Amino acid sequence: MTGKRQRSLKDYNGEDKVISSHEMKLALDQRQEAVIRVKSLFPSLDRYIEDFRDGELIAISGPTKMGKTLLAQTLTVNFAKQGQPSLWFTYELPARQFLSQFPELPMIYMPARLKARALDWLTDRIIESFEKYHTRIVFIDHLHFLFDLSRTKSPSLEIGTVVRRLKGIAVNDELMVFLLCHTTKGKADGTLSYENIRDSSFVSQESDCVLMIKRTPDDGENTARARVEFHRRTGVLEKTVDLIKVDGLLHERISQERPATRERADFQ
Amino acid sequence: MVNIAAIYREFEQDNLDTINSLHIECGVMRTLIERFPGDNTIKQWSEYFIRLNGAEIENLMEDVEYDRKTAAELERL
Repeated sequence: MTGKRQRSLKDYNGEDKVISSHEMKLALDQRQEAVIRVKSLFPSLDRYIEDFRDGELIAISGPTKMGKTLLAQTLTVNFAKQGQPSLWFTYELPARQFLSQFPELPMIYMPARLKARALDWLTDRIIESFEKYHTRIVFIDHLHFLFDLSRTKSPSLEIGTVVRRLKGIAVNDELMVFLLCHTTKGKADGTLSYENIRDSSFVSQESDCVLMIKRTPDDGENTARARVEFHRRTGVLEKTVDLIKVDGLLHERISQERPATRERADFQ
Repeated sequence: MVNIAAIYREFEQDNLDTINSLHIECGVMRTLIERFPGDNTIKQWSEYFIRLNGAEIENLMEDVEYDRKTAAELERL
């Protein structure tokens, strides 16, 4: 490596210059560990994942009509209680229906009109909302509205690009992005895992956490089970949280069984 | 002749603008809480103003509904 280019980079002093691990550590020491930390207010989930933090991409998945949106709406209300309002892109439900599903109107933000299959537009709205209202939490319902499936030769690669970009937004802008996505039907025995997320393994590869949710009618009316498939920061794998819908929102259902027995229960 | 319905529509727009500015104020308060993580006084005052703005927004929502309803009734006359 010789010549003019080498000489010009020797004096390079941009924001992205190469620095030593010592300089990096000193720079990090000056920053907070996390700009925001919020709890789900489901005690077991909070214990497993040690709160949600900025820079994280969290995938919420599960089959259709199994409570993904309800879980996301419950998290929205619980985050708002902690002073952190969310920005919502509700592609799946019309705005009127979406807002009417909250028992009380929470302080949230959403675009007056939605544009599907427009990632640049979505990025602009996220930044706009942050600049105007200081929202650091984003919910996108759901992933398949972010690209044109009919024109895509390889949905898997397209999803990979979208998810990687969302992860980049979360990290660079210190935001928390919740991405709702569908699953396939799962294995013949009815069990589900993050491997069943529709069209792409990139979702789980790029996510910091995958939460699966499924209704559990055998346990009673309005019950569901959420499962932390994995959580990169804490290293938690396959932990379940039993939930029940009360007054329009989900709450943790305290099981009578011993916890060890409950963890082994199949996610069916 | 004064168009009273138009006056109610203006009230409605004023209230909508105020709701938006109260939301922006809440954003400023959240920025303050983040910028001064160790300062409990700033945190408490900011949280107080966010709650206050939230209550004011609720009141203004009712006002907007009233303005809309009244303007619509006057326009029907």
